Amino acid sequence: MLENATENRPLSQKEVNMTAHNVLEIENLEKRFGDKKVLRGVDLKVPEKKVFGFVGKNGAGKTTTMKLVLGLLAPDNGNILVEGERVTYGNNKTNRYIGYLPDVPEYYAFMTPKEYLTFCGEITGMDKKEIKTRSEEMLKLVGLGDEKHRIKGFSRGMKQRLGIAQALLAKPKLLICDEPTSALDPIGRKEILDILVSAKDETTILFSTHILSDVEHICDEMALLNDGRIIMQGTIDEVKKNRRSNALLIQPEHKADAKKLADIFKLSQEKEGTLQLNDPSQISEVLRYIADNDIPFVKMEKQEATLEDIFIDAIHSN
Amino acid sequence: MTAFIKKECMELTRTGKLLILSIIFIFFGILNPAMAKLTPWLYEMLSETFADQGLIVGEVTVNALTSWTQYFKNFSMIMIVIVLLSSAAFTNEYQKGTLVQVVTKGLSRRKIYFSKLLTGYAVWTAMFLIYTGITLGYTVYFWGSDGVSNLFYAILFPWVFGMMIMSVLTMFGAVAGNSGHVLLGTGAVFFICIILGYVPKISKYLPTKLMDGLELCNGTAEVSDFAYALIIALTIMVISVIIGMVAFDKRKL
Repeated sequence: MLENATENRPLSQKEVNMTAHNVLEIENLEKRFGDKKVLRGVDLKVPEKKVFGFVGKNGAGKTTTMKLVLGLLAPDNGNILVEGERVTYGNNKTNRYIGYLPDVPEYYAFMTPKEYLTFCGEITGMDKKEIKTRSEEMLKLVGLGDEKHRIKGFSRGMKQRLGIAQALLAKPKLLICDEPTSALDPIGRKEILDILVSAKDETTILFSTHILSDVEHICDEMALLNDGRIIMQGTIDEVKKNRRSNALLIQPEHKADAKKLADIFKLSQEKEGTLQLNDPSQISEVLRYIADNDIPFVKMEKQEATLEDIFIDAIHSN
Repeated sequence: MTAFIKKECMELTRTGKLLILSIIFIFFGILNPAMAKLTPWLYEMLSETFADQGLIVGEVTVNALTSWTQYFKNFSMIMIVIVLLSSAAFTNEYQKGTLVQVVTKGLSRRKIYFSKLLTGYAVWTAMFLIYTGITLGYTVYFWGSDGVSNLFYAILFPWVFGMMIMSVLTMFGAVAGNSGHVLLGTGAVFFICIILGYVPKISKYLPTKLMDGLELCNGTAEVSDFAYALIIALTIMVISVIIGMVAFDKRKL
């Protein structure tokens, strides 16, 4: 009885927020091209105002998933909800919530960036005044404010930046970026990442990549897509915690000490001169011995798995 | 939709397509009366050669009808030009992926399709007016309009034929993968009509009949003779607009 009573009580504000929280929800999404099954039941939830990293190796199905969300492809099975509205192929109503940056964006080369943004604003149905102020604001944000030339001669980085400007123009609830940094040089990459981070207050960002350092730098949450399925999802910390090894690495100053310790406590050496302590119960014992014998050491650190390790682990164990 | 039409116009002017089209159409427009004007002189030049071969060239009379004959002769030529230069309207955008951005901004596919169609119609009509206007102006100036009957219908029908071709072209643009396919499809429609035209019984039903304005000018045909061809052409026009519209809705971009 008591349990029922709690079941039936109205939802608290916090819970309402929790349920209305996801900008994008994908359920059991399947897509095949010919005989090739690219997506085999993808489930994904992207919460509001987060930078969400969509990770996977080349050909894992990231672009396909994004195109399905944009209604550019028809799914074979499953459901996609953007802001609670279902996405249907060919009819792109839900696209009014979405800003999209394709992997290699192409524009009408005969226009200037400002003209292009005006064009974008007009087809989105923004009013004239808003288009003017917003496009100036966006061009400034991406560093193309003074660009009077036509898009024709733009470099890849410039096109990518213009891409972000056009994607953010109409203040979308969800910004989808398909590998925005993959084709850029380090400086161009940093510029794009900085712009994305600064856009985080306004919108939710879903961005696909196979560059894990980018994910570590700017993402709050991530999902790993492999072989058409999401095999891992959560905040960066959660993902790391799940796979975090408990090992402690100790590097004595002298290799002889390392060897001695290894022999006494039967420790493995991660590489020559660095000891790896896998059993947490051993830690105090080893530390005591080091203190008692005044063994000098260079460093002692908790071994933390990098996203690369997690990525490779996850893909291999699948 | 106006935004997209505006973009189409900007594309036409800034890529120089409109300029090229205008130059070609002005050239052909001038060519018709010029050829008529030059005919007597050409014959005179060649008369000695003809005389050597035993041919005697009599007095050559040139009138307005000579100019209009040229006008209708060159008509398939200008159709080919407009088809060639308009064939990439859709496929260019498929190849570059520029429509993806437009669609993901929420502009409906129907609006894109009709913007392209209307721009196609407008370009054709403008070019047609240039071509016809120049020929008409010079012809009336040099020879008046004596002996030319039914001129209005004679030039209206070819314009309708052009509108039909632009509709067919847009339909193929909405369906095809590259501009080669568009040309192939539109060309096939065009040439099938021409080949079928050799069968006398069905020639009056074919849209290509609409290009025979000369028969109206010189009085060998009545306006009512064109009724079937006109109805068929308009039907093809409507059907291809509908097919193109539906196909474009489902097209992968």
